[in-house]
Amino acid sequence: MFDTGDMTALAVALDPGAGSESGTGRDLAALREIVRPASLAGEHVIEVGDALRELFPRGGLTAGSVVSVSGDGATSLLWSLIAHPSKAGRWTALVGMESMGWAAAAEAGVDLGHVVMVQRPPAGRWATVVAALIDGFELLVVSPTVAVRAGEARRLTSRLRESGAVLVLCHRGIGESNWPELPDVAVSVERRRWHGLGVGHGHLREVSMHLSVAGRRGAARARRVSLERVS
Amino acid sequence: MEEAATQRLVAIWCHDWPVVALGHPPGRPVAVITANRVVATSAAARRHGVTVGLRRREAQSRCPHIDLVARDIDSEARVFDRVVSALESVTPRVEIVRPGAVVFPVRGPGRYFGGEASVLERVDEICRREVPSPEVLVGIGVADGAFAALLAARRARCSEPQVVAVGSTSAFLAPLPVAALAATGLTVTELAMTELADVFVRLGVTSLGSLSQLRLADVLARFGTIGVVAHRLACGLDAHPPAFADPPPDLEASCELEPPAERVDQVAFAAKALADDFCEGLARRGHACARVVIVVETLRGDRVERAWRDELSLTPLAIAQRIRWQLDGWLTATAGRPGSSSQGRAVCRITLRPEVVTAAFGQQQRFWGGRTDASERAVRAAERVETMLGEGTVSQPVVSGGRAPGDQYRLAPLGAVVGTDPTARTRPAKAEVAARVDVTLQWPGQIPRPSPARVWEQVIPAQLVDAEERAVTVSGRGVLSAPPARLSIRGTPWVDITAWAGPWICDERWWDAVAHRRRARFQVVLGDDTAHLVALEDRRWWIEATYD
Repeated sequence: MFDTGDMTALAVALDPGAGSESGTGRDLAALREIVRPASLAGEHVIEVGDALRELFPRGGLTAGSVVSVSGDGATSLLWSLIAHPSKAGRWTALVGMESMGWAAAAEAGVDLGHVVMVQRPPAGRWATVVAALIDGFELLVVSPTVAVRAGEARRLTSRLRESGAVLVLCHRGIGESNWPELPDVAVSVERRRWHGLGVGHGHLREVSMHLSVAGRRGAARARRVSLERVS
Repeated sequence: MEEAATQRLVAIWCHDWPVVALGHPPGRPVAVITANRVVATSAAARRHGVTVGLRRREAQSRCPHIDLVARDIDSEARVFDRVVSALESVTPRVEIVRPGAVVFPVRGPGRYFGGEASVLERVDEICRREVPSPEVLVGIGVADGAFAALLAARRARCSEPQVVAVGSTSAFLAPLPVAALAATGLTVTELAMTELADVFVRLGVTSLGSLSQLRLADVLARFGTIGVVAHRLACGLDAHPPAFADPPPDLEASCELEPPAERVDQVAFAAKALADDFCEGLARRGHACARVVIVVETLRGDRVERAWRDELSLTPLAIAQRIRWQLDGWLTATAGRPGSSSQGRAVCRITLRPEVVTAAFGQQQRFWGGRTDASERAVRAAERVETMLGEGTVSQPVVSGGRAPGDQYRLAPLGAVVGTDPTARTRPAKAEVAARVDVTLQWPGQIPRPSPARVWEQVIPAQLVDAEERAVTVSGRGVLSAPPARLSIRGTPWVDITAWAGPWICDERWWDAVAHRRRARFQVVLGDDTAHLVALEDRRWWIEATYD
């Protein structure tokens, strides 16, 4: 299992050969992105790194799609999701997400230089703010507890498709989401176990999560992947 | 080359303006928060030990019943507009530094009203009449140069202006601490100035006098342009020598509003575009603007001119914000007036005229690969959103260094992460100033990794009991009373604790009676497989963070 110094890395338990990319591999991948011939937004995929690639039907987040991340452990999963894109130079905006643990994000590999936090907009301006951000950011993370009208949601999704951005809905449970449509891909944490803490001794070291993936347009099969977070 | 002597200015400083302008009664403890930090406090809050710069959680722990309100800088500007309009009866050349602080040259009014003292009397009377409540403390100071005048105003007692005699500005500034560099609101990038002051203190330069004794060349070499600004301010000079006595008229920029705007939000984009054009026009000639006059013209022919001043040069975002404030003030002031139709009030033209133009500095070098198209787009979108929502609403996480889980990173407002050039978002501008903070260094009292994914901005009260339903306590020596067995978060039903470890004791600032904090932290895993970081402080349990 590759361990790059102090960085935590998500390693797929089922595939011991996978690990963090080497430096040259990363540079080549970035170069490939730059010289990639123009393609339709619908075909463009935002890569998510080896560990989570299995979760998505096309090996990454389809540009213009809506992804939801839910369950206990959604935040760690979110950091792992945006780690690879942020290192590749894709900008992420978080809107109205409070009390985030940035040290955990940095440990998961997120490049915080490409992350911007936007305070929760007043009610009624949420859709305008998100629409303004879609123009500049490739990943938008929002908390879908905001009440969104169906018309606004449709307009936002069509803007997403035009600009090739991805909207990530991050929430604790299914009941909390007010997003009127079904997301294209829904990743939820089904089960989670912490390791390393005993009764009166030790400290939290690793977490293993069972994720299930559901969705439409090609992601219809529920998939189960076991992930270990190694520190 | 001899520099022109700095102007003698009167400065007016309204203490705690962010609190006062929102109408909070001064007897209550109130703190104004922006980006999770306290930026202003009421006098009652200060008595409880809540000071500017604390984090929200620290403020709450020092004063549990404190009112924490979000900063509303637009309201501050709107309320302050009344004071400024009233001051225009004394002199037309009032320059606004920020909501709550103004300066104006004293020579003209002095000659008209017969002496400095009578000018000060008038100003005092006007301020007392126009501020929202009679308990507002207004300080008035006179000195050579805006920096010294504002510091004098801050130190003045109520109704007793602090006058610094002509020529004795350096003597006045010398004993003041370096932290005063960031205390005047003169600089848009106050954060950078605060950090520079920290570095100075760590290097042993604790007063403005010792800073002024350093050689300018050394300060420039070590700290760059922001160090030069600090050095000049400490010597009692203006932050930058002006490039022109009278800026040429072609540096002006104006825009017509079609259709004429009757509400502030209608001009938000136009104002930003105008400010961008204006700054770009200046930048192309290698200039930056330290004082700008914003002229707003209405359909009816009214002209409202206001001068806005900032020592570290005004960024397009700052100028756009001031355009909005001026408009807001004008529209609010005329809304109540009889005989003003809404048609007549509508604003049709905005002009920006630079009054003090300085040589631009710190313009970014484009590092190869440092700026991509994607970065440009992202930054522009972020700035647009900041214009929509207000200053300080868009931020980036930056390395900070600390013990508690939330301290290793903090959110820095978007404009503060960069140097003076608004389009440069590369890191080095800030790294020049702050000592490099290494996140991997171990701080004593730090919880081992992995760090929790959620760190609660407002700590959640909880209760921790042992197997016999007694509250768990930790002795002064860090000894646990009994192993914890059950946890209840904010009154929800009790959950069993399946695994725990601790305490990690953190005894901070034991030498400081006010700032002393003792905290014991535990990691717990509950029956539903959630993991939390709980902390005991002052015999109360809090959920500080969650391993989500």
